[in-house]
Order: sequence, then structure tokens, then C-alpha cells
Amino acid sequence: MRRRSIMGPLILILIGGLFLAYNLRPDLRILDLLTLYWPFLLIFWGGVRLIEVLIARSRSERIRSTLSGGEIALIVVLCVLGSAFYSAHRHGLHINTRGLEVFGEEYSYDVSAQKPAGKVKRILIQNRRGNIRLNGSDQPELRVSGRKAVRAFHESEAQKAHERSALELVEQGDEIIIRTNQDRVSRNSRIWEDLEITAPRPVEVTVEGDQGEYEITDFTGGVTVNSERADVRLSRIGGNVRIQANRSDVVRAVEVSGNIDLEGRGSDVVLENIAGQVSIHGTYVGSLEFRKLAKPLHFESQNTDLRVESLPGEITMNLGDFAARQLVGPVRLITKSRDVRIEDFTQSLELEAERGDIELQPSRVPLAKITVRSKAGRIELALPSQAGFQLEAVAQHGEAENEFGPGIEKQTDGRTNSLKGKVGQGPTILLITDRGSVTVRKQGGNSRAGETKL
Amino acid sequence: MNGDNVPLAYAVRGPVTLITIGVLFAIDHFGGYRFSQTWPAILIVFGLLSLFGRSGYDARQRRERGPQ
Repeated sequence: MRRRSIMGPLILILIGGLFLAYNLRPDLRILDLLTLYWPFLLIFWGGVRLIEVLIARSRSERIRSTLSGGEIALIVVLCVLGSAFYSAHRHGLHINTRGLEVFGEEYSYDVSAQKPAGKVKRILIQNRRGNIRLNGSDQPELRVSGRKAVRAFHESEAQKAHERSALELVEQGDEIIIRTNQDRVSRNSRIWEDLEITAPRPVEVTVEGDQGEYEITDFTGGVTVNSERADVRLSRIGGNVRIQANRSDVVRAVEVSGNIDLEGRGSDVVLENIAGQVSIHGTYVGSLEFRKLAKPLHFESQNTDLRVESLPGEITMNLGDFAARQLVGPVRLITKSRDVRIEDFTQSLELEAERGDIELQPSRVPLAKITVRSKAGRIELALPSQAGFQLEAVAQHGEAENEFGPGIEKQTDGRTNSLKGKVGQGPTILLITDRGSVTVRKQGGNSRAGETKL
Repeated sequence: MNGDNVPLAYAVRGPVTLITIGVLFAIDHFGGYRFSQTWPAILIVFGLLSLFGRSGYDARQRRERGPQ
């Protein structure tokens, strides 16, 4: 029997899904994504047909020798439209929910403004698109300078857009609002405004925008950033920091005396020398680095929940690895799929992992209380030779190896191997892995579980 | 009967060519070479598949006809 290809229904589902996404989430820019990624649709299509041919052959069914006429016509149309949209995209033609958006030439203008700000307590910066560099100074004056780039077809149009979006410093009570007024101009004349701002050091700073890189240095007040898409770099901030960004390539804060509250999605996060509490909620897919945090750290994402009382050392993590040293506990880490390596921690450690190898090296005596549960992965614990503890280590479907020496005994029950024992006086250590091996050894040795012993 | 079946290389000619086109366009968008430079690869792939298909087909025809 000749089977009909499943490609027809698949295409129908895809078209339905795309329209649904386009209607429900216009911010995803589905058309821009399609313009870029449509070749993968061809690859997918070819792959599905290839699999169909191979399945039909393995069942000795009659094979449709090639693509049908309708399919070929559809592919040709897709290639032609895809290439046309792609080259239009490269030449600055964008299609979005508001229709066609065409970029012409770029015209740039210098902007500047200043105002006495001796009594000002807060500064609010509203700049929709553009970078901001903000420096604290001892002068009781607010100075703004920068460059505005306007894209338009004609110079007169650009000039008009420039005049309508004039930079304003508005004083309201003890607050000054720095407004670039880009929303007064139609979306077709796109404006990008880079600002360099100097303000009195004690003010509270708030930045609002859609897109840009914000660099804020040397303020004794707090900093708040609210942005759709922002890279944020902060240093020497005296007050509390609050950052909300739906997309960021990097969030970096160095030498902050207050608390840090970070929320959103993005890539890299670097926090160093933070005197206050740090709390992070969101998804960050790049590398995260935390160093020298004096107060508790709480990091919560879809796959991870990390709590540390304070961090004299450092933590680095990405989607596949978690490495940390010198943590002050109680430490609690829940993670889905990561290789974990922790050296030198105090108080207690509670670790739950779904997948990944775990390596622990507590170097201080008396030891911290340790509880580790892993669904799949090797657990290796290297203890100082003078340590005292009560151990229970269970590998439910794997090997258990005692390389620590006397005081620990190995027991085997069916496929479950375990190590139990008491050495001196000390806290309880519980290690459980469903699938994988457990090894307990003395520090200094370098043998690893899983290696064959001769 | 299996005689209706075209050889595998013939049957996968369409899908494989389609994948090649997709890959070439993807290289155009994200890699170094333009589609205007790489398009002859499609002819080569299509030609090779036709060639393999034909030799397989001929061999079977001869087998079916038996020694002459």
C-alpha cells in the first residue's frame, strides 16, 4: 500500500503554530526569525521524507520514488520567498507587527544639557534605545552629553525627528527626570541615543529603557534598572541594586555595599565584592561567577536552587558545571543536570542532583554535615585524614569503594553496595546515588571511582 | 512483488537534494559561502544519486533477465 506523507499535516500544524505565536507573542518577531531560519525547514522536510522512504523500504512497501509535484512547487515558492525576505532583511528592510519598516540613512546629532542638582535626591533616566554611561561626581551639578543617531530617508525628516525628541531635564520636587522622548517620534525613524551623564554621588539612580548598555559607576545611593534588553555594568555602588531585564548578555556588579536583586533572563552574570544580600531569580544560560559575597546568596532558576550563607571564595557555574570553593554554610544546592565540584565548605551541605558527577572536598576539621542525593552520577568524597564522621554511603545500582581505610565497612545487598562506618567523633555524612558509584577517600590521593583497579 | 520498487538511491534522491538545498541556504545565512557560490553542489548530489540509482537498477535488471 502506498502511504501518504506525514509532511502535509506537519506543515499545517507548523503554519497554525506560527500564526498562533505571531498573534499571542508579537514581541518574538516571528517573521524575523522565519526570515533567518527558514533553510532549516527545508532540512527538516528532507529529513522527514528520507525517514519515510527508509521506513517504507524496511517494511518492503512500495516507495514513492520522489517528491510530488505539489511539494516541489511549494519548495520553490519557499526558496524564492525566503531568499527575497532574507536579502531584504540584510538591507535593512524589516517586517514587524506594525507593517513594513524601512531604514534609510543614519544622521547623527550631538545632545547636551545641564542643571544644578545640589538638592536632588533621585535621578530617573528614560531612554528607550541607547547606551548610558553614568558617573557619580562631587560636583552639585547634573551634566548630560551624548550623541543621537536618527535613521530616516531624508535629512529634513531626521532633523524633524531630532527636534521632536529633544532631550529634557525635568525637575519634580527632589527628583530630576532625564527624558530623551524617543516615543514622540514614529517608529519608522529609529533613534539610538548614547548618553554620558555625570551626577552628584549621593543620588538614587533609576534607568528605564527598552534596549541598551548601561554602565553605572561611583554612586552612594541605590541603582534600579528596568529594561527589556540591557547589558548592565555596575561598580562602586553604595546602596541597594535592583535589576530587571528580560534579556541581557551580561550583568556585572563589582563593589556594591547594598543588596542586589536581579530578575529576568540572560546570559552571563558576574558579581564580585558584594556586601549585601544577593538574590537572583531567572534564567541565565551563560556563565555565572560569584566572588566574595559577604551576606547570603540565593539563586533560583528553573533548574537550580542555590543558597549559601556567605561566600568568601567563589562559585562559577554554567548549564553543565558547578564549581565552588570556600563556602560558608548552611549550603543548599538543588540542580538538574550538572557536574558539581565543591571544595571547602562549613556548617552543612545539602545537595540534590538529577544527573552529573559530584566531587566534594571539605578541607576543614571539624567537618560539615553532608547530605547528597543523586539520581544518576558518581559521588566522590575526599576527606581530610584527621576527620571524624559517621558515614552512610549507598550506591543503589553501582559500586561503593572505600579508599579511606579502616573504620568504614563495605556491605553488599543484591545490586546495592554501601559503605558504613564511624571514624572518631563528627557529623553525619549521607551519600545516596540511584545509578552510579560512590567513593570515599582521603585527600591527597588521586584515585577516582570508575577506574579499573589492577 | 518488490519489482515495483525503485532502487534506494533513486528513492532518496528528492529528500537528499532537499536537505542539500536547506544546508546550502543555511550556510548562506550563517556561514561563509553565498548560495550563488555553492549551488553547483546540488547538481553534484543529484547527479551522484542518479548515478548510484542507475547502476543498482541496471544490475538488478541483468539479474532478473538471467545470463544470456
